[in-house]
Amino acid sequence: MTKKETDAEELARLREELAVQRGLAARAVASYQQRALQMEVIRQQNEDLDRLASELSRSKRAEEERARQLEEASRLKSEFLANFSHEIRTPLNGILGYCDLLLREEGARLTPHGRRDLNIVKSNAKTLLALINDILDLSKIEAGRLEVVKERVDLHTLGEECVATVRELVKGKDVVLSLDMSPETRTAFSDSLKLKQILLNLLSNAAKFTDSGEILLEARAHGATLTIVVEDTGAGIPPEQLENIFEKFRQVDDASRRKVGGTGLGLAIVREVTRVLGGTVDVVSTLGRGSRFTVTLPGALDRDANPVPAVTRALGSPVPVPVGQAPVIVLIDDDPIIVALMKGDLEKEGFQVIAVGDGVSGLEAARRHRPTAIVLDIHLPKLDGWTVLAELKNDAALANTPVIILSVEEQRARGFAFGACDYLVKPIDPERLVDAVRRNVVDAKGTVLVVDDDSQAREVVTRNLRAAGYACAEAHDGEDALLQTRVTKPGLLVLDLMMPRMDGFEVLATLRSEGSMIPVIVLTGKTLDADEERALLAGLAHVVRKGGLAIEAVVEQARRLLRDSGTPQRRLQRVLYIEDSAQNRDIVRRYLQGEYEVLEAEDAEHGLDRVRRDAPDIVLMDLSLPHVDGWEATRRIKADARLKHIPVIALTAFVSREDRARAADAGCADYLTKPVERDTLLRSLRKQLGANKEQENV
Amino acid sequence: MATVRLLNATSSSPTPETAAEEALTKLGSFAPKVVLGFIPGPWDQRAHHQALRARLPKGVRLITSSTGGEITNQGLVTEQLVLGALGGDLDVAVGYGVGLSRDAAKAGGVAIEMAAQQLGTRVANLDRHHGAVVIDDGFKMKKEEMLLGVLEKNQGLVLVGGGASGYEFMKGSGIIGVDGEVFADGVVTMLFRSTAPWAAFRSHWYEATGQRARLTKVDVPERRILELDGQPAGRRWAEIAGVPPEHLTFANPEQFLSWSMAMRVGREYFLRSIAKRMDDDTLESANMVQEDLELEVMRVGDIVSSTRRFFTEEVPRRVPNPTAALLFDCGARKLYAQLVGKLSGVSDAFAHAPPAAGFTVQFETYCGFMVNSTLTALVFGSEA
Repeated sequence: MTKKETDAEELARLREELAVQRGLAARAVASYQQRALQMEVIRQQNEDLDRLASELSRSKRAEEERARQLEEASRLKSEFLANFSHEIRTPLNGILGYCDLLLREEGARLTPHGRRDLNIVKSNAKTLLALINDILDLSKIEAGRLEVVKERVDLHTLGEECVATVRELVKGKDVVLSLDMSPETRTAFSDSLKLKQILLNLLSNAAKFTDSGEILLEARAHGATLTIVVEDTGAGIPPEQLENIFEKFRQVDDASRRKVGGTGLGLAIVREVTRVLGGTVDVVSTLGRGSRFTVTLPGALDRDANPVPAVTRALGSPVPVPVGQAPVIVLIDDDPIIVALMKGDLEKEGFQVIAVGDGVSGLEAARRHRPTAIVLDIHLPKLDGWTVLAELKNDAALANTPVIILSVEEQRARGFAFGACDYLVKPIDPERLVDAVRRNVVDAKGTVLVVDDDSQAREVVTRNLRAAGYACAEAHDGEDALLQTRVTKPGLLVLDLMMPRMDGFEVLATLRSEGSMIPVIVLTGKTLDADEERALLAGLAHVVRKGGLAIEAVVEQARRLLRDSGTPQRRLQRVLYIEDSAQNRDIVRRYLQGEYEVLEAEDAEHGLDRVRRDAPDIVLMDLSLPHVDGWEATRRIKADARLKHIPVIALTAFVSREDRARAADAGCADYLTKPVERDTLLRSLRKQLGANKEQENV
Repeated sequence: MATVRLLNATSSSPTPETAAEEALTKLGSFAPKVVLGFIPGPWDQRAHHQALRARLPKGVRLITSSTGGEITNQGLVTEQLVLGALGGDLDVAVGYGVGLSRDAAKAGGVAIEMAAQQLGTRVANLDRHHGAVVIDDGFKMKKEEMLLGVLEKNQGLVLVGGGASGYEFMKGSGIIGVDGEVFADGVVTMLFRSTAPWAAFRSHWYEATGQRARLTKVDVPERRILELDGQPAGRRWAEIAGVPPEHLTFANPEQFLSWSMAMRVGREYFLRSIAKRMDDDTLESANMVQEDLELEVMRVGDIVSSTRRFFTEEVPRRVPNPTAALLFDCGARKLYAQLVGKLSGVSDAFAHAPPAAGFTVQFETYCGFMVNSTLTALVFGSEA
């Protein structure tokens, strides 16, 4: 092969190789393009996801904005309703109040015609009030603001009250109103006001549409389920309208019925309120023969079930009223009509009424007079009722005083949550307020705490004691009893002996070891041996044996023991005040009167002697003292191992930072400057004594 | 709230010093991070670049490109120096590579590596906050190979741009300048990092007909389609277009540009235009070809309304509060608009763009693709 041929062959080979290489390169680029394609698809998918995410985010923001606007609208609506409620009820309250005043004070001078007219005015005002209440209730239901108070309800009494109310509506008709409630339904655990609302609406409805025959209110228990039936022999409801009967503003479309009037809200409220209570309402009706409404409330008779809603009613804890003295009621209301009406009625019942027109004066009056009970309006000048209530409950001296709220606004749940023992909505019949006050005030000292692990036994005792006019609280075991005794300081314990975990003997022994001299009635079915009898005797317990007339004996003992307990049952904590100014000592003594036992010393030496001798719980130390000053006296107390646990509060006219620091260095736990206010002093004492107790416990 | 701003400025003076002075003065006190200068193709690219460089602060990067026409919010213009100054919440790095015609992949790789190094990171680590503008010498027709180099280490990097061009259609070299260096046969990558919202776009005025054509025989190295649907490619394409084969030529561009083919990717159509009908009845593709590839047959829509919609609908949909746009508009779009008497309509549509600067390019780049007859864009926005 020639070189030329070789070269040509080589060139051909190179060309071929180049072509192969170009092909390979092209395929590589094509392959890369394929990857780019896949990347592009992924990119598009990411883009779609991003877009979706931002759309979701935008929608969420828009939704949040809408929710905010709705919330704002709802807030405005609530605000409007609250104002509306207040502004409408206030004049209505006036109308009803003046009607009552006129009837009471000028009734004799009115002509029969005038009296009739006045009653018509009153009746119309009540109708208007009922209408407003219906509208407000529905608004609250729609806004989800209807609160439920879980409480013990005497259903039979409630039923009787409702029947009595509705009896007025069937006057002049040939209608028999009957009540048939089985014994197991006597006590329900529900919201009494709402139950009453259901019953009154159903009964009023039946009364409206029944011209002759019978209206029956029936209550039955099916396990823990309460079934309430309202049956009438009235006009009945056409079948095609039955399904709409619970709709708002719906009335049976029948010309003959229009004469009875009404807003068409009653049954809607029944359904909604029943739903709020966790139940259902059904109706069966035959046109021309009558209707039967059935309200079913599961769990309403379950006394062991925990109340689902958080709000429960505070137990009344009346302040002692010395026998023979008129109980003092502080009435805090800026409405002169209310004051005139209530004051008259309460005084007629033997109460001494101190009426004030604003929250600040109300607090002052409560602190000054230590009333038996307080009647409190919510809308008050200077300080609103909620704040007054909170202040009262924060004041140890007044925390147990029963507070009955009397307001145009229905906020029972809030009222009870804040510690009110009763909540009445204006306008109100004066008799109802008097009843409420009477219920919460007893003519002897303190609440009776009934301690028994058997709920039925507890109930029997408390019902009888309440019937006798005593406020009762209950404890389901020994630990609960001790806790309540320490916190609420009842006037008397009715104590079962045989209880799991901590029996009555242990409860009694613990109480006495803690220095509590609370009277105790032991109610037991146990046959006591000699040791047990000795133990009860040592614990100063009065024993009543279960069975026979045991309950009557308990009530009798309670009456005697509470009447006899005129002196404080516990030792007051001792405050030693070391102060050279007699005037200052006098002020502090008065400030602390009744709250603490006040010991006094004129100078440091004398004071140190009393600290050693009288073992005060706390020392109030003036710093500027003759001979040995307060700083030094404090240092000496703190240097003594036996005394150093006693807290010392400096009470001085020195205000400089250096003096304050010196006092702290000496061992003062707090530093108060003169002139000191009573509240400030009490707060500091409580704080230091509380802290000291905690330290001791540790 | 992160945002990127663009200020544009123009000068119609062909004198480099005057043009640079005038245009930069118009930027006022704005402190850009980078200035992109689009210099009319016939102008002295080097002199204009140097004049701009001499007047810009040292830290401000400068990229220039020769154009086939310039773009601002005033529309499609000619014989004007257009500056797009970008500032705000972005970091910018600029890299370049030369020798496209010898080794395009290498040039692309060098350019992106250089830029990444300036940002203190590696190409592989560039994430969703990074993107790059790519301007290459468009006449070299090496985009696909160049992109192979740019994306070799990071396929996910978002790229957008177009080819440096000239005023004469398909003639000459695209000249690029980077911070004093001016060259042909090269590529520049402007890499950026920003937390402001941004996106790369592509838009064209073609619509899918629903018809498809398969590349049954190709010459890969020559980008030649020999047979389409098993028939001689030229004849088949003329049949699809419904015109005599001799009309499918740039001698008759209106007819020729009325039809195109596209590769469907996801929901998008990436145009793969026919560049030329050859005498042997084959077709030269503007893009690389691949045997057995099925393409969608595309027909022109309304170029004016599609451009307007792009700015008024698509851009705001993907970028909140658009504040800046760099635009790369295909020469074929301008040519077609001119031929059908819609140039002023298309030009007016740019008024709807966010503050913008751009130029008429020689083929476009979008991510890993060379596309054509397309407007590509990089748009920044603001969350505020």
